[in-house]
Amino acid sequence: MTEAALILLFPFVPLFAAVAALALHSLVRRDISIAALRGSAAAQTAVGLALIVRFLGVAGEVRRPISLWNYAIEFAFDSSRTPFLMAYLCPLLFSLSRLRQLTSPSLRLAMLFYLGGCSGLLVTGDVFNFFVFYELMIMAAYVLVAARGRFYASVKYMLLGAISSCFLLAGIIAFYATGADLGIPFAPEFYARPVAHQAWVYTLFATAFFIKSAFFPVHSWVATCHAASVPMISAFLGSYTVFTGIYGLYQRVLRPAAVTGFVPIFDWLETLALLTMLVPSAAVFLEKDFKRCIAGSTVVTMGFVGLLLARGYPKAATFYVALHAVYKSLLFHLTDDLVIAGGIVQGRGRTLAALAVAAWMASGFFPAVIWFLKYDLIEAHAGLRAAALISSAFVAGGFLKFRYARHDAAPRTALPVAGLMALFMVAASFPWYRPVAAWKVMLELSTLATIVWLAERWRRQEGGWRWTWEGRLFPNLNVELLMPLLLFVSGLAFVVARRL
Amino acid sequence: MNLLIIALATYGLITTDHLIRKIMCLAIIESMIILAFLGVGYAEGGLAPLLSPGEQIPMVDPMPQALMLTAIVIGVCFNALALAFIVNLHRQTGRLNASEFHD
Repeated sequence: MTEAALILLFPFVPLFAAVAALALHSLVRRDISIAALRGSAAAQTAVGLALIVRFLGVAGEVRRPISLWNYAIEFAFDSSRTPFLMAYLCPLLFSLSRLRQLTSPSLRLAMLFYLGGCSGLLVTGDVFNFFVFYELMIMAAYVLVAARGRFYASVKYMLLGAISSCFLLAGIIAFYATGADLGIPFAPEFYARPVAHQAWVYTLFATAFFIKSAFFPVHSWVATCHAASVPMISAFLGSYTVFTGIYGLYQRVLRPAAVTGFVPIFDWLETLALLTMLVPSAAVFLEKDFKRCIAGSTVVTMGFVGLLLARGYPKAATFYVALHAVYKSLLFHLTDDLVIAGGIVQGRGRTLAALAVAAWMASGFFPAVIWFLKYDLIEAHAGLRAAALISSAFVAGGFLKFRYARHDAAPRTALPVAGLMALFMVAASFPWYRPVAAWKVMLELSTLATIVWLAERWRRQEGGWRWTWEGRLFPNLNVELLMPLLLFVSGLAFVVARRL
Repeated sequence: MNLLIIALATYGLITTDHLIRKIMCLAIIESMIILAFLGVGYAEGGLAPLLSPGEQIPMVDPMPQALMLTAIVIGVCFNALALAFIVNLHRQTGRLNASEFHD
């Protein structure tokens, strides 16, 4: 099968499966949703792996119109999209054994539409279809988040998601008004426009993607949705959905901004990324809910990835995305194998071992792969090294403050072993290992030792568990809905001020 | 005019405490954005974009119309889903004011 055929087939597999399941359910009252979900996941894994093999390290983009009409919608794929494809396939594979968490046929159909939206995003060739597939994905995600009857989480996600979509749509208008077509990469007409017009387009797009990828201060939906969802959905939200925002930011803002040398957008991203590393990491340290802790560490990761992108390390950033998908989906799926109550996390020995490895990866201390990923970045600037150490320490402390114990009655599944194998396979393909000075290793390990000591003291102080920083920053939903507007206004002011 | 209505609806979104009103404000913002996009494709004296071979007539840009039709459908789905969830939230908690909800 040719690359063009694979690109065309990829997003339609789950959508065809959904339509087939829906038709059979309506016509003959037969539920094939589980079989459709399994078949779709298997087919997409095969097609996705074939795409990765054919495009990894290969320059150039392949485009494929969906019909022979001159103005037909085009799908496209290139090697820069492969890490995001890996980030999509990982939670998909892990969830195969956990499909029963979706308890009704309608939820499984919603899952198929969600997968259709996710995979369409990966191959879309223009900005408007990016919007359409994103809406398909997020609309299904709203339903899936509400699967356990936690409607507040879904409503909050919807409100912030709709605000983000309004910014994206406004960005598309501002972009179209330049006279350029909506294709990717951007047309020369866009670059010929005055800088002020470009600034509007970049700021509108960037605000939309900052909300979607949960940058500070528009990150509060992540913890709420993760805590409300079943682990399978949390795994998708935490390892893929938030990264679609990063994907959009990279493809629609940073790549064109790099072409024109539009520096202010990179400065704005760096400022936000630093805040996203530091503020939510402190919240992770203080958080008492285990799943919210994992969700908080996802937000911190967005900060790291944003910083790598802002400082000009796109390859490291996208590898980070793929790696993060493995350990984050492993962490979320493992919560299903644990018994968590009153700050005590209980599970089987191998479950706890897998949890420890994944949590180490999440915190990013030496010698985790992530530490090597950010090595060049933190070498370049002492302040960035301090920020990276502080946020890593807070995330590690967040996990360490819980008490862990073996519990032989906890669920026994093959997931910990499979997850660790996947993690080591991805880590083994990592090309940036290097010799490291002893003092740097000592600095990392002494910071970790300090945080272990602090976490132990924190655990003994009962009062600490009742205080959350995030609760004070965002006292209610009204304040949270104000944040996107503040982000846009401050971003526009920042970009204009830097440009002048 | 579009910008003024968007500003008013944004003000409403921020200041109103009622969840259903917030959804209405979002719907207004979205409609105004759609109108603005249609405005981008408008041509003075332009006709509907139906081409006949060899005919050269001024016509409006068909692209925004095609795209915004999709955006309208997405908007309707969003509103229906949001209202359904808010009704369920009200049944569950007996509340509809955003200031009463927090994690």
